[in-house]
Amino acid sequence: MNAEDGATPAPTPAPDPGSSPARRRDESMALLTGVMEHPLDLGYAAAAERRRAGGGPPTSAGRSIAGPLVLVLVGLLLATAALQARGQTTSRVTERDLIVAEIGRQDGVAARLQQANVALANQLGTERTRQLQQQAQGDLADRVDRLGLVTGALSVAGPGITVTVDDAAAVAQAPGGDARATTTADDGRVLDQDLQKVVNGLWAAGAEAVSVNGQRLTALSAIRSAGQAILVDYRPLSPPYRVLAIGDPDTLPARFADGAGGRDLMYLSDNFGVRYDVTPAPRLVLPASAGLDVRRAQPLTGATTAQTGPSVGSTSTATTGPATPKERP
Amino acid sequence: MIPALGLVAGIVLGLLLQPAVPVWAQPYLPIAVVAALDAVFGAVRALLDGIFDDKVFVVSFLSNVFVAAFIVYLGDQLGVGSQLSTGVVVVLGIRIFSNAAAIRRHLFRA
Repeated sequence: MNAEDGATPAPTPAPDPGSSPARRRDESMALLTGVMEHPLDLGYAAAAERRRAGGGPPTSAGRSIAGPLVLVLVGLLLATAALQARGQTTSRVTERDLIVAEIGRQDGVAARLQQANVALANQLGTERTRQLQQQAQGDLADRVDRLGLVTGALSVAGPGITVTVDDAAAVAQAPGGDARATTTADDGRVLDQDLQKVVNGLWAAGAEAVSVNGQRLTALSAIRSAGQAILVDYRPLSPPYRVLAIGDPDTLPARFADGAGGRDLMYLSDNFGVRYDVTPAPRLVLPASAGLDVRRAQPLTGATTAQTGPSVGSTSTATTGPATPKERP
Repeated sequence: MIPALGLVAGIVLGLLLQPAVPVWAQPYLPIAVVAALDAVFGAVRALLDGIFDDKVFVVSFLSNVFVAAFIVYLGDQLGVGSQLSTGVVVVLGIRIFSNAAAIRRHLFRA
């Protein structure tokens, strides 16, 4: 259009696109040529043409506030983009922060739900005890309480010892390393089997209730590892590991130290620098287990079924008919 | 004069307010800025050519920013987002350079 401004003068006079004989040699690059030769928005020329035809000046510069307003917008865009690029709030950092915040939030939700669960279980326990007392079945209530203590369904308090186990100082100083790298420093890391030995040693030494970092251990609890984290009941723990055990305060520390658990800890400490500490405590409070849930196991009812053992067939159910009438069709 | 003041005011405003860019819009911001720069350089050249038009400037600015961001968005959906970004930057860059050359000729006669 505006060939007189001489931006990039065409080597040949601009041909009529309709006439085929005078084909430009660079016609196959029409897109690039168009970009090079008409960098200016064609709308400007068209508007100027219209204004000229209307008898006015070709430009409308400085007559409306729209231009400066758009320039304010441009400045805003520029500054915002520059700040973004400076890395103050780069997208990657933002996403990481979002995920970290989400993890923290969900952790809080899980902890709240767990607390509510424990509170409800306690409420259920007291309600059950009250009902049983009202029905003059006090010994049954006592039995339920005793079983709750043993199985870990109830929170308990009593004297005992605290065993604190922590990674060797070399490991603790260099956290966040490559999880796959097996360096010598990794030898000083407390493993799930170490914790298992400690817990088993405590049971063997006469502990009546054990918890690890606030997780009460039951007959169904598992101590295992996923990556470098130790899981108790599928909940990841972070060191130091505090194992609380309720038992006779006079005999428990000595029996533990002499048993397999104590010897294992001493071996780990001497050879790998694992740090541990055993302290008696006059009163420990262990929470109830949150994950005590029996799905398949059924209590045996009646003396005859108890003796038939694991091979309870259809015939034996028939013989114990009165005990389980609801199983008949 | 007033347009230059507007630009400065916008930059200062952006630095002071530090508006938070939503996460979904962050990939399109740099492209939008390049498109906006193209519109601004085109406007300056039109001004020097004596054919500046407010309406064309506003419309070209808005459409440039929108179309550039939309192309990149489309590319993201099709899996060629980064390549299309490069393409948009190249085309807009050529236009900016050409317009800047014309502006230079106007100002310095060289």
